[in-house]
Amino acid sequence: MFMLKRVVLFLVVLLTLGSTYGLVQNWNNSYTGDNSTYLSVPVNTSVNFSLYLNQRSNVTWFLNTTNVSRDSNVNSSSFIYNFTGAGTYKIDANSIYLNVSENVPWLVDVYQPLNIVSYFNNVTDSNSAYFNLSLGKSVYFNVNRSGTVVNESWIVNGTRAYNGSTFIFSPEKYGWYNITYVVYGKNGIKTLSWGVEVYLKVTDVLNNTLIFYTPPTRIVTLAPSVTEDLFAAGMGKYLVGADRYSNYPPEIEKMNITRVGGLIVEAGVIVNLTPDLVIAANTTSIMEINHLRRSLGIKVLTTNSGNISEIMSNILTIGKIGNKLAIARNVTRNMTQRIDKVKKFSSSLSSSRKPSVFYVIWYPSLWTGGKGTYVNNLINMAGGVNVAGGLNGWKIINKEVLIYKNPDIIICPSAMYGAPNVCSEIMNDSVLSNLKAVKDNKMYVVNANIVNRPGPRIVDGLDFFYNVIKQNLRPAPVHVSLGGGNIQYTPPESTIFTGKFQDKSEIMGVFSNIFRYKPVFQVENSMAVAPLLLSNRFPAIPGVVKKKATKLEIKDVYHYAATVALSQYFFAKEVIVARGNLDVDSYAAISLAKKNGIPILFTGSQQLPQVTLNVIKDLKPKKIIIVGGTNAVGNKVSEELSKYAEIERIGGATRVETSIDIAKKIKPDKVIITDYNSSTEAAVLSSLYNVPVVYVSQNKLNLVVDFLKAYKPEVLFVDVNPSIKKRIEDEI
Amino acid sequence: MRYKFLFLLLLAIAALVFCLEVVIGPVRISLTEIIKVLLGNSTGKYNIIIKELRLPRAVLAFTVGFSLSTAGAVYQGIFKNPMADPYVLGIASGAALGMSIGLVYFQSYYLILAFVAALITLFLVYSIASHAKGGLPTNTLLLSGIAISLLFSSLTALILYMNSRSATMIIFTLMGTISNANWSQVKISLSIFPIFFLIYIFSKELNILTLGEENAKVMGVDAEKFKKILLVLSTLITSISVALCGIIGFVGLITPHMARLMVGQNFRYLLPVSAVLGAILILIADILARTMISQAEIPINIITTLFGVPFFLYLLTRGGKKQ
Repeated sequence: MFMLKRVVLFLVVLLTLGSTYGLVQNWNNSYTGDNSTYLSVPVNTSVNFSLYLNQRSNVTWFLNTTNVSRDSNVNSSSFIYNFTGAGTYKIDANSIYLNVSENVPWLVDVYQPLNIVSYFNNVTDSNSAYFNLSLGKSVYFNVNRSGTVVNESWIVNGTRAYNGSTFIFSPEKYGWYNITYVVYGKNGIKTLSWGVEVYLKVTDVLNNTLIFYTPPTRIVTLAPSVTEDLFAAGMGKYLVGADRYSNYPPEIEKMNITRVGGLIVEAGVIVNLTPDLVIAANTTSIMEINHLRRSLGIKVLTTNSGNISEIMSNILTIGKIGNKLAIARNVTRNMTQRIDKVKKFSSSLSSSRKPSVFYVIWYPSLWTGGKGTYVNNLINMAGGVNVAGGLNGWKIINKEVLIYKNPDIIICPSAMYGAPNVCSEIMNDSVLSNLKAVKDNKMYVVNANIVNRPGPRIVDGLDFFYNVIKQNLRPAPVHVSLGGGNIQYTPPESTIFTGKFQDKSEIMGVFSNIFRYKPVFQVENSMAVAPLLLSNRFPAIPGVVKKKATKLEIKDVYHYAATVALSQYFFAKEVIVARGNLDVDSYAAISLAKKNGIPILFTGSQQLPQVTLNVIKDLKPKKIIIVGGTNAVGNKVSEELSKYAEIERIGGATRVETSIDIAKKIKPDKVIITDYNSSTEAAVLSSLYNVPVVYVSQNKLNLVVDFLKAYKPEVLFVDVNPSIKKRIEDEI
Repeated sequence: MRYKFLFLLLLAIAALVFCLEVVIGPVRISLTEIIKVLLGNSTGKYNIIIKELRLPRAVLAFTVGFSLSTAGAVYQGIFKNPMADPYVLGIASGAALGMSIGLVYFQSYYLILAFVAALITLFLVYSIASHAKGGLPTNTLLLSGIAISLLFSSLTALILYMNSRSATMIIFTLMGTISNANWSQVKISLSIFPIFFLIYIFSKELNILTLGEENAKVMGVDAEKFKKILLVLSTLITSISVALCGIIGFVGLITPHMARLMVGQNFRYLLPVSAVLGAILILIADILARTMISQAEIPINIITTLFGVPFFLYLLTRGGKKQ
């Protein structure tokens, strides 16, 4: 028992000793010559790994966990291995003594050594380290290297641009580029370098080729439009000279800029400025341009700006030349967006809604832009119709053509060179002041520079036309549902009404004019409502009653009449009361209401509605005119009304007598004859021209004829039976 | 009697062309519509086109042609020079300068200033030409007229250049146009008829003047006095038409020659015939000016010059052959 205790103690001591001093004394590898356990070795290297022990032990060597050799009961052990393939190898030396085992692990990274074999670019045949490149083209670089690569990258002017062995170089800007290829292997760094001179080649509208190696910094412009292009492209600070008319942007006045002439270019002044670029417009004389280019050796870029896309391409070209393409692109993108907005609007317009536009720059000889001019493009693009579209280029328009076409809108440029404003001259002209646009005050003045200058602000000009046209669209087709049935009407191209009674189409034109500003108009339960609307100063629609605190619910025609009357009148010296359940008398009363400027109210035949009474109390009339005989408006009603004001009854046995009585009161020089008791057209015309409606019927023909003979008015037949019409015509 | 008939025929033609001027235009208006307008039964745009545009224009064209031809006939008679006319003598340019000064600096008085400037021009041209060797030969008169005309044209251009504010108003008028006719211009232009009548009263003296000053003396006519009166009157009607319609060239040159072919040298017949011929020519030229380019206007001076210059060259070469 005691023995056993001692043996166990001994073993514990031994174990403790073994673990304290360790089994492994040291280790070594022949590649680094020290005891590092991480090795990075090229392929085909033999490495001798050695292990030194404190105790004789058994040592087992593992290569990637595979048992490769074993030494028994040794003080030291070694293992030689030739690494032939690239990769990571794990070498373990495991020593075991009694129950104690210790392990030494090595990690061997075996690599292929790095070498650049060849390199290539698709621009130069030889591998020259310097070459030229036109902006817009790209270069394909390829490096063929062998061995293990840790990291490789392409550095353009000091900035890492790309990782990999191939690189496509497509510069956005021109100038000098240092391109370096850097590759890291396990055995070190290798680099390659190129110098690339990227130049800009621009061919202008005169087919002259301009080559730039560095962006110009002394620029001269020869027209206001290109000056504006230059500033838009962010190159304004390089402007050293400009023509006399360049005055935008405003900072140009603060800059120290030499003026190089107006319409005539002063070449001497330009040479003195030593510009590295002169930008000309298509208005510059070609002889001057050639003189600057050929004789004086100055780089001249000539631009064309015949339309908006040319303007945008000019801005982009100038941006490119200044290496500020991003700024220029921003400008043109913005322009495109604004143009698209306007185009979207104008393409959605039907041709009947497009207003006619007259753009005039001169008075009294009216110079205007026809086909092929900027203004014509802007008008069309913005959704208008140019009244001078029949002319070619800038011409003096014949005044009678202008009177005939009668434009909806007149636009003049702001006064140029201190001249009087054309719009005000036109307003004071005895003939031209008859134009609809002058009468309706649809005259607009636009900043001349945004319309006449083909520069970036042309979209401002477009916006101006767009806003003016949008505000002045022709009325949309009107759909009206009134007592007489459904009438659909599209306004005619020309909305001039001469006031003559000619044919039905003209009547319809008049009809549309009434509803001009209320495109959609629909009234439920519309019987007898039309006269109310027509008799008033403007067509009321449900919901516009604002003037009076009295709020009425529109239940029926009586309420409707009350609403319309209250919305139009605070007080009325007279009111007309007519039957509400039949149009006939109220149609006849329209002209009277219009003439005297008084409202029409409705009543029942025997019963005066409370709402009508309320309105009468509100308006406090001195006189109440009852329209219709006692059959239409009974005595009970008139008695009731007589409590509030003096009563005058205009009414005969039938509608014929009633209408004639009303007409006599008006003493008209024109009269509308109808035999249809609900003719909306008759009512509309009556309202528009303050012409009374006279009803006719077969058996009361003589009454009408007598009236016509007595007053000799001009007669318009609306909805009349042809036989009756003929009989009346024969009689007169 | 024969001449009376001829004159009435020309008047009829003038009336016809006048009607054409009213009927023809870029806006087609039917005859019935025109008659309705003229009877006062129409309102609206046709009414404006006929009454406010075409009618005043036709009347103005008539009076301008009438006055320029009268002036041309008188100048040709007094200077005994077939090439004389208000345009060639530079009198139109002088009147234009006066008008420009009036409109630019005074905003009125332009009629008076046009007249004064035209008189000064006449005096200058006449005295320059008569200082030349050998009296008043055709070519000297023309050359001095052209020189003064060029001088005054450039002075006018200078005034407009210095006063661009007013230039826009005048520049097209100076090019010669009837397109801006209105009734107030017409009212002024009607004053040429009494002046024409005054000239016509002196047609006998004019006849004697053309025979030369010696003969005039023999016949008991104070040549200098009548010459002055007639020149002032014809310059007055020239300046009125220039002040209203700008410079319209060559009408005053052509028509007296046409008239002479018809009625001979007697101014009693020559004056009215050439005046009416001038009215006809201007009316025709204005119809062309209004209709040649669809919907647009051409300054009428372009048309009269296009037709007048060949005639002028013809006269020049024919004159050369005679010498």
